[in-house]
Amino acid sequence: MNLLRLSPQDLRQRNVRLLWPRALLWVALLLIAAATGGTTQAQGPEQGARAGIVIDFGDGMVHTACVDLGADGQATGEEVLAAASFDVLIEYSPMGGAVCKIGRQGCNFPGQPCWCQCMSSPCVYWAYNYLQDGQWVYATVGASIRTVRAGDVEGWAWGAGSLTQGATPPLVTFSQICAPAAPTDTPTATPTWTPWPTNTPQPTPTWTPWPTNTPQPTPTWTPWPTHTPQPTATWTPVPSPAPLSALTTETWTPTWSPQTISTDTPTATPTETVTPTWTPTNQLSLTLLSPETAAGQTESLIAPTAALAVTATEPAGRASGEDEAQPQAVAQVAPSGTPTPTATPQALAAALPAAPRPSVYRDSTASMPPRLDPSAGNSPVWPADRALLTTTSPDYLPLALLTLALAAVIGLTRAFRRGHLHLAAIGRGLATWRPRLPARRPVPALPPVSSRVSSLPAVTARSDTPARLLSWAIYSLTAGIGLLALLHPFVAAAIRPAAGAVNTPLLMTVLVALCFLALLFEVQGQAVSAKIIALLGVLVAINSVLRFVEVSIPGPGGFTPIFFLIILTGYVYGARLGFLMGALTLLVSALITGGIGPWLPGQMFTAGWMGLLAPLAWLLLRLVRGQPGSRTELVLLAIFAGVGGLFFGIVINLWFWPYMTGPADQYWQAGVGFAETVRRYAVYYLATSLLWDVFAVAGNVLLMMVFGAATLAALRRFQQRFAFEYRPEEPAPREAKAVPERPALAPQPVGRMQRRSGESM
Amino acid sequence: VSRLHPRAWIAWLAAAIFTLSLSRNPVYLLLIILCIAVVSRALRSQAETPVLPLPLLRLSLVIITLSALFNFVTAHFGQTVLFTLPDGIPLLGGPYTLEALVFGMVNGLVLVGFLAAFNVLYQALPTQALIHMIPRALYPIAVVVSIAVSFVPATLAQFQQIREAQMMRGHRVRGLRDWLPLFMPLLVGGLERAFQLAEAMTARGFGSLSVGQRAGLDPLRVALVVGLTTLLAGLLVLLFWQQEVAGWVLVALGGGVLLMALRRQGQRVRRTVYRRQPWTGSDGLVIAAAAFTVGVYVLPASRGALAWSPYPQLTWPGADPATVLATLGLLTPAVLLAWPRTESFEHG
Repeated sequence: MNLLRLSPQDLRQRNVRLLWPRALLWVALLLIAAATGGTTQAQGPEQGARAGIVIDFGDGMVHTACVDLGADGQATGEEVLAAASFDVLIEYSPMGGAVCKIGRQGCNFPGQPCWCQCMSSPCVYWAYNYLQDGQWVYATVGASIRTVRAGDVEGWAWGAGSLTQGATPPLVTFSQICAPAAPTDTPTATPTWTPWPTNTPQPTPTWTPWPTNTPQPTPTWTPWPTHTPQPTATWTPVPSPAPLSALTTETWTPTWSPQTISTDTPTATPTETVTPTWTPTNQLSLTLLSPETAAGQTESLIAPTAALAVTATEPAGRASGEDEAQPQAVAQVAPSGTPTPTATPQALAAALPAAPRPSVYRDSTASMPPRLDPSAGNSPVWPADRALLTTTSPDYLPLALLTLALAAVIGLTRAFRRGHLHLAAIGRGLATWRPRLPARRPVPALPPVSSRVSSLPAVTARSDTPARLLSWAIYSLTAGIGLLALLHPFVAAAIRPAAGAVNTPLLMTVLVALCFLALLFEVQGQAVSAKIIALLGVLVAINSVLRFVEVSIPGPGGFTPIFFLIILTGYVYGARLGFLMGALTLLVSALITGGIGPWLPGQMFTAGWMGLLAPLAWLLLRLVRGQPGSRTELVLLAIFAGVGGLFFGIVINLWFWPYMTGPADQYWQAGVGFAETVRRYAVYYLATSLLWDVFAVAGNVLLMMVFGAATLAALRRFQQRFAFEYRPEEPAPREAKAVPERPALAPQPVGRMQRRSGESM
Repeated sequence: VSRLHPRAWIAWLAAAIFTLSLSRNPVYLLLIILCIAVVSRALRSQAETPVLPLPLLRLSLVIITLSALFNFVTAHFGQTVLFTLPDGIPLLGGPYTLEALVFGMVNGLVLVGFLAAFNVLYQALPTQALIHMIPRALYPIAVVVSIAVSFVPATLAQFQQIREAQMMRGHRVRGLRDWLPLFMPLLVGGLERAFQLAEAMTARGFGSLSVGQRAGLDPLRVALVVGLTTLLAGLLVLLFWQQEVAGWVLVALGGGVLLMALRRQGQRVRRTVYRRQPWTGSDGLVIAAAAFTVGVYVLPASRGALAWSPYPQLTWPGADPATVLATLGLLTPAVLLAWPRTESFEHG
């Protein structure tokens, strides 16, 4: 926050040294940020772009499905849910869609309120979770906002919960729902029948390719804890492996070779070869029937115009030597158009409706007699699949550390070379250390005029170090809180990707308002002299008239003439006056045009920041060694004004962006990682605001180029004219004793001006 | 000049804003906006009101249209698909639904309600009363704002004079550059005025009393730093450690310390009031009505009536008599303003 104190004079005197080390330092910080963001993106290697979904109906019924995410490898939670073959009722709100009903469980919105069972305690609703590091994490955003990527597992559970915690479905890993894809990227139809409790009878399903309808003796199902490789029916496409959603016109000759490996029953496992061919306008549905349960499991592959016609080349034989009474799973491959004999017609019907991108890859419903308790001994907690979590993003951390070290070395070398680091000088410096602040004009303290006033003079003296430290603390803290409140979506994503940020617009608004009050309070200490108040008041009035003109005759897009004068005021008269100019212009113009509203504090704060940052242009001028009043200065100011217009647009959008809803790839969502958050904001900004702000940028640049030179000259002339002081009459002797340190001044008449040209205010 | 106390107006405004933000049901939104319009009408008949640069009705139409279009183009939820653009187009591709259009219009309606409510405040209270609301601790800010507000008409008049003078010399505004001879005299003239004003203020003794910050370790500024630090700590705890209770306690503590410091600073500044607005029974009535409206709106029973969503398929919004009746509480200022004027209301 050095800039707060930078006045033109200071900058002229101060060398902008150590620039390279600082630049390197920034690069290092950015790299560290990128590294933190990078690791959060680590999960999600290409799994053939599939995601799992677990739906726990709360009555012992648990449904899992493996959903193909389509070509771009991502979908919203809502789309994934829609692909899971159930009717879903959703209430949309700014927080995203709230799911009211899945299948038969839930509230009949809008006939009933969406939270119909949440009117009293216990509050029962559809809780939305996602799997992270082998644990369910309660999603803080709605399903229509959250982006699901390959390898994610979504969990829906109907049960009691609160605002911050909800019911969770049983713990299932991605690999449990979607078996790992074959290395050849072959679409693998892997009906994984995973009986949850270990004590359930072993299902021995038999595959029956329809229409032969003969029981096929294929895979022997092995129950969970033995961890035997599960039966895999591998589709081997003949022409070329292609993503599922692209299966439209190709003719496939897959060989279907269900490999059954069973440690218990190494009996005959006849391998059959089916040669299905893909023909248009058909669809494939595999239905697993378990006689033991009333619920059927629907395997459906929804490829819009493609489907499977199956020709069984081999008659099937019963191979399983196990008991006939055991539950069986029957797979039926049916060309569509012919009625599909399934046990669950409603599930099939639900699988058909428009699910544009994601298609169900695998789907299963399990009826679980005993509800699983994760803490119990028999809880099926599968080992987390580490392969899913391998990082694929480049590791920036070593690079960042290297850059940091380089910056330190260069900085130290330069400091030594320039004689800043003489040890003796360091010792001396430590002994007489003061915070190195820009030199200030020595202002003789105004003596109290009246003996009744006990307070000290308002203008702080040069030696008033504690007061300055306080000042600095207030500036840094308000800037810190303001930036944190603004950037919390990014900061939270960078530091704690998993956690949802505190999603309370109220908190952020209150914090910003408090900071703004504190900052105004601190800055106004500067404005206690009559001339500054008068100058500021008149400049604000002029700028408000410009705003009035702008509101009456709207310019194109975001064009506004006010920032031009705010930037120049901050540039010529210093950061604090710039801040006040920016904030008060918006306040006064709102007062005169009736523009008061909840948007005002954010506007004031942001415009104030623009004035506050205007002295940065001095830094740029020093960099290019330009002279005040030159063409270079004007160009620099124009560039600065352009960037400032963009900054204003970006920051103003950030005030409300995290609380908006809309297309999933443009809006904020907890837990997507730093880089993704930045990317989303960039997309949002490009889509909605860039064009608008382009006019603001162009307007600022144009105004600065046309009016800049003349305005700058006028402001500078008045800066010199205003650099006078009123020296009140020498106080009475009694008071003179009260302020003994005051330098003896020649008695002056009241209000006599002493012009001190060339000084800043 | 309204006969109601500024605080009563603030309470009314708060109730209007609260009810607007709580409901997305167009029936209620339209009802609230109607109430606001009636109050605005009653004010207009009372006294001359400041002219807005843009007529509110036209502005409202623009806002609703823009909001509806924006949602129509960006949100692709809903079942009544009007047409579909190919999915390949980034951002714009997808189904365009009637529901999204309606939802955008409803959002625009909320914005219009906000605007109209603040506009009533602007009509009802003179600018000086608004400036009076700036906290006393920020008195230099208040001085700057009141100077600026008083200078705005003078600046506008000056601008008119400059334009006429330049026109006499044959100046015509054709491009941006032609504004320079209009803008520069305005700026320089304004700065000259500031110069005179500063001298006049000094001559009257402004700034000779130091009522602002004290030098050295002013305890209030120390309190400010402490409050800000606590706020920051609370924010960090909330954001990064997810300790909700501890975080909120810290935030509340920090905010409390900050507000106390500002309050103490305000007490250091003495403010004289030329004419104090008396607190009357009507003010109490307005506040009670506002509280009643808000109270009914937050009842769990009214939640069903207030909640309405066009998604997934457009339905007709319903209404519930109790909530409708409570909404009419917002009309109280209009009723009081239309009431025959009695002597007790007269002051000054």
